[in-house]
Amino acid sequence: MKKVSIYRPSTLDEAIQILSHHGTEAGVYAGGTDLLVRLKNRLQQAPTYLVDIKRIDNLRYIKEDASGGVQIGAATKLSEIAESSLLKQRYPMLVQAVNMISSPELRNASTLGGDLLQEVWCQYLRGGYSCWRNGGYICYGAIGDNSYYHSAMGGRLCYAVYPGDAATALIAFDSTVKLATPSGTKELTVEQLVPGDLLVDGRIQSHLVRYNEILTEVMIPPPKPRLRASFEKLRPRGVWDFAMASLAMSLQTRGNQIEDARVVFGGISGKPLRETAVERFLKGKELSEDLGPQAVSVALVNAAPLKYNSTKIDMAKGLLASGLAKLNAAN
Amino acid sequence: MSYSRRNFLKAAGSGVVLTTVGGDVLLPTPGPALALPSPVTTEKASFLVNGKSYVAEYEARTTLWEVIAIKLGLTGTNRSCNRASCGACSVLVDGTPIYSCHTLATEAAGKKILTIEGIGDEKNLHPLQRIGHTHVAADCGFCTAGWVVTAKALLDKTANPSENDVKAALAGHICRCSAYPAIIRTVMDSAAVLRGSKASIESTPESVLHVSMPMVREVSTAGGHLPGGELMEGSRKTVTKKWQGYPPENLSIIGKSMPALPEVSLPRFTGKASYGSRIWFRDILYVKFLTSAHPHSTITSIDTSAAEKMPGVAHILTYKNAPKPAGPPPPGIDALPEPLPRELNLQGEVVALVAAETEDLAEDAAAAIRVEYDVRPFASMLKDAMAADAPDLRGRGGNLLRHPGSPAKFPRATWAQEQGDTEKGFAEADVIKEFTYPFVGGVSVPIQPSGSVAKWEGDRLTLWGMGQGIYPARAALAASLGIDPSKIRFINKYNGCTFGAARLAAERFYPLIAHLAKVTGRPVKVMLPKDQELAQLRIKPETITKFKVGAKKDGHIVALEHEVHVSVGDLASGGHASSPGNAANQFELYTSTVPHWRSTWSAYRTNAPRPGPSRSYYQQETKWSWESMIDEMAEAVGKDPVEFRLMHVTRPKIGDAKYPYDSFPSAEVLQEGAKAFGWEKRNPVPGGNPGRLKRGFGLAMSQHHGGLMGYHEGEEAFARLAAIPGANVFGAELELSADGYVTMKIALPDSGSNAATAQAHLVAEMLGFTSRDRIRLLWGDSDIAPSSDDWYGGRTITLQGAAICSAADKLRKDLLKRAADVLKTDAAKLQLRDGVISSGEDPKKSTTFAALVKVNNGPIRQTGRGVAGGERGAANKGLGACFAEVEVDTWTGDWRFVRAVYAHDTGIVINPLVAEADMVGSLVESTQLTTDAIPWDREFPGTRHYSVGYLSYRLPTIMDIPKVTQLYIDSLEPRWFYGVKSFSETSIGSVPGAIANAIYNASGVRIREHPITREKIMAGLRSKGTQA
Repeated sequence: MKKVSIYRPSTLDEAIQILSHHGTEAGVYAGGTDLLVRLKNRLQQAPTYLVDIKRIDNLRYIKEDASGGVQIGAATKLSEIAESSLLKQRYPMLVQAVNMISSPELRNASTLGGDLLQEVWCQYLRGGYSCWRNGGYICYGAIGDNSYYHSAMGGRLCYAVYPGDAATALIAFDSTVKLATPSGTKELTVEQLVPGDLLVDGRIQSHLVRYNEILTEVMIPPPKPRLRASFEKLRPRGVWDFAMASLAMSLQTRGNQIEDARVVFGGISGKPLRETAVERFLKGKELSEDLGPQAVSVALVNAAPLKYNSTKIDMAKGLLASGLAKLNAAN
Repeated sequence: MSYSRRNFLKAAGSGVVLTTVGGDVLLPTPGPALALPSPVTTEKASFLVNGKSYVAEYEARTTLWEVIAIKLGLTGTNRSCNRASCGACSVLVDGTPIYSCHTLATEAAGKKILTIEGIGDEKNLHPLQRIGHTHVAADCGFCTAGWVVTAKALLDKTANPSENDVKAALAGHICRCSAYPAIIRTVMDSAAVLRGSKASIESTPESVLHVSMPMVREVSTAGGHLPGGELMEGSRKTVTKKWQGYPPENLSIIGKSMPALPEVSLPRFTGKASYGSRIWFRDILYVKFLTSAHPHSTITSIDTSAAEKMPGVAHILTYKNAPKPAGPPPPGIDALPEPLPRELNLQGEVVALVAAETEDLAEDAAAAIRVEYDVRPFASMLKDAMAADAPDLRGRGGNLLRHPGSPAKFPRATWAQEQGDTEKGFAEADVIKEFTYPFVGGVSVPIQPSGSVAKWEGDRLTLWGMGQGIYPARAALAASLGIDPSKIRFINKYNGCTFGAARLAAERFYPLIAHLAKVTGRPVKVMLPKDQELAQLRIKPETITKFKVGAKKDGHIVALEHEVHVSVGDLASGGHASSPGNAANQFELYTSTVPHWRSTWSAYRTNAPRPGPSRSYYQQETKWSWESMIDEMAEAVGKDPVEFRLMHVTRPKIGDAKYPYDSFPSAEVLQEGAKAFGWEKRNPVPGGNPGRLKRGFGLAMSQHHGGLMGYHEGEEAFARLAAIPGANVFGAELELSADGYVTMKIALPDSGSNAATAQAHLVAEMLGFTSRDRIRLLWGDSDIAPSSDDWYGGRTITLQGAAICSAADKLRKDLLKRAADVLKTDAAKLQLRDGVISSGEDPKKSTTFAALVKVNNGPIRQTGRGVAGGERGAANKGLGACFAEVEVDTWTGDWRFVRAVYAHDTGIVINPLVAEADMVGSLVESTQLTTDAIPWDREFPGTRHYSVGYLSYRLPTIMDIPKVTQLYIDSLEPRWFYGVKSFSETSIGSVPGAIANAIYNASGVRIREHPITREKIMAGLRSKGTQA
């Protein structure tokens, strides 16, 4: 493992000061489940000044807010989300998605903030190749073996897929996040938080949290009335593996009629991909057995698969049909 | 800079997606200098482990596993992948399971830590440990410490878990041997016991069917039997007594399900099993490798001066200063590749070894070594090595290997065989089909990191190794170091799997580890990280197999051309580099009825990892193609796959000198398997079942065992057989002590097969015991056990077993003679029963084993020896079949392995429970090889991706395994004691074909190129337009 130094601030202010001082050589350290892999693989990009935010005492909670929504502290463990009776009752789809992340022991360590902001799992980056995210000027995934960890929906510089599952599920609930910054609190939707590869503070990352900002909270608005939601994840094994394709979908219904829809694909693009064409298509339609194939026909028409990953698009479409079939049956 | 939480500005998200934020160059934020606290770089903290307080000092980057297992010396917790992808290292921190390899130590400082040592010990076993032993929930046992603590956390919270609760809780634990069904039963039964249940917990298999086959017992199918029950060998010269004199009648122990021997099994549950990776000394040094990223290169310069000055570095070895072997290995032991070569023939080849105070410091130094390479042209994949313009890797004109015996008639083959005239055959055929099946390569990675520990005391070396025997490795190490073998104590009791593959990865470096221990004067340890281990393990190589098959309308194959191309890395000869070896078995299975055939084998030098044994030898890489082809031909001629195989499988007839096997249930394995599986319910139309989720059936066969068995025929025959070049000599000792116990002394380590348990059953049976309780075991230590060869080919019971049975036979005769002397009667009239020897005529005339020891004034010992190989040709064959049911999701390409009937030609089954544990592992292991290739890069040849542990190499989890029924076809082998026939590798080669054929039957998608992936299924569904 790379040599590290650990700071243990007790307040957000202190943490931000430290991050500001060390620049991109520092990084927030919470669960460490992604970070330690990068440190063990000695990636050039892995920060060596770790700012442990776990002693900041107001970052780990799940609570109901006045509006009936739920606020989750960024340092809340994934296992705490999976076991929360409040979340099980309000957003069972989120709990289902979180239960499909990594493994039980990792969920005991990983935090929600860490899951949202995790680094991509491209085999070239993780293997220490000098790519855009690791001090180089090339995307090996774009020209290399890109069947699993790379985008089939195009890309900008880095073609790695956004790997997380929590963001995909949270976007389907119109969730937002709070960031603590040197100049105050910033609020973004989760969709805005993880727009895919972009250059922030001189480095390529999937999210727009700057080097001296800290994700502090996720806020899920109150569930819409008559909400039906599903989460589907296709992966090689029933545990650990990242999504080859995934889908979080929430439908606001009246009877069998769809009043509003959120359709978010994971594992196929550099970001959790809101498929607004399908959302528009579904609005006003009746749930039925035929709806799946119809929705599939308008889905992902902008696909831009790489050499080895065109089946991601077929899989994602299959998940869309599958999700609609489940929600139809769930009447 | 000024800000505070009270005056944070509320900044709403803009909704505009920015592609750049902030500046390109980042400088510390301007503003007045702040008094930053000092970060922690080293720490001294106390740890409360298993109720005891410890203090440790460590770097901030140190993991909890390193503190527990290295700083504190609590070695019960194993580390395998070191990337949070296996669960072996799990411990409880404040009652919560976490991966200790993936948790910084500082996180757990001051918290309550529970490790396997705190769960229970031999004197005070926790139900999970006791019941786990009963159910054989540990084969190799390397993962056990991890899942036991996680299961403890589950049971602390949930008194009455469901099976699904257990699976969900243990999902993050890889059991490399796939003892998952037994693990689930263990946790369920432990929960019941903890709730107060008094129900007894039986050692019974989960799902086993027996088929007895009397006709094989009575009928010799070949030239084997002679009057008087004697058997002739392939050479027609050597005579073996039927059942070696011990017939399968009136058995007391053999055939009974029992747990593994407690002295082997229980330490796996208590964290005390002494894997080499658990060997620990306070002053131990750790070795890390520097490896090359180039598929083919030569080192032009190497500079270690900066690295040598780095903190904690004790010594660095490169090709420049590594000691040259003092001598070649003794005759009969293959030389291993040079450990620090200057010409590097594959990515990941070793460039330097660094010994330092910690693994991190050794890695720091390895990263500081400056190396320059002359990067050479390479060909890592077959198509590149076979190409007309391929780089000449050997400098001898082409990469095809030709040997003195290579056929002149086939200049493009390394080896060939033929019969008849295939052109004539094709002219007679009504249907002619051609097929190509690429297998891209697989590997059986052990869960224990390959490695060793060396420690010198004066001029005596102790080496803790990881292999499949101790004496050949000791002899080779002694020869390399130029010392007498007696100066080395070689210990290897437990391995976390070896698969044949790991042994070579570990042994290659023994001389250098011993050298480092010598020059530093410290104990030295190496544990290869998984990414570097991959380049050292022997693999199942890339093959491309082509068939041209001609059949008559009635389905009979009349002509067959079979062409195999195989990548052999930098091997020059032997194994895959010379001939099809055991792969010829499958050829023999299907060609006895084919008049015209030809088989060629072309081996190519490449820059791929070296092929060799990898849980089995020559199996999946060749049988994938055979079993797919048979299925495709069956369809082409309109036959059911079972029926088509029955038309073609070899069925040796009495007196058939070409197939001299006494036990060859080729038809029975198919027929009984089909019956047990419910094959008649198969829909013959591929993809013909309605709906989105389509089920399908598939089957494949495997014939295996090159035929080596160990024999004992008295000392005179032993001396003659042992002198034959290539013979493998095994040894064992039995010691009867005054307490009436018999101690077996066996050199071989246990990698998870519990082979000594089966040997204990045989010894107990031969000595007339009706229980196994009087048999004890000492093993895996050259100071204790007599010399013996390595086991291989899953045949410990017939190789090492030959020596232990020989010893038991001698001890039995010795005791009878001593008793006859004491009782003044004829030994032939005496019988043995539970340590008592009495006269059949006069029961009052009796004595005991213990009394005879007393008369002897000391323990009574007998040694036994056995020989395998040499002139003992193909006397023993094994058959297996896998019947698989899969379900394909035609919307997404997802699939799952629903259930299997795994049929084996077993001979008599010694211990159905332990056998089942082994065979579940065989099936799941082979499933992994079917679905998960070596992570080759298709665009950057020569590159393999293995950076995130078992996320790169996906071992099946408790969530992924099918329901398996073992079908034991009890086809007694007349050449061996009680009709025993080893079977651990017979069926393993059938699994990939069975899965491929089942997926085809379910979905109509035929996958000809290994591995089977969801992408390929999806692509096939799309091209067929069957995606719903």
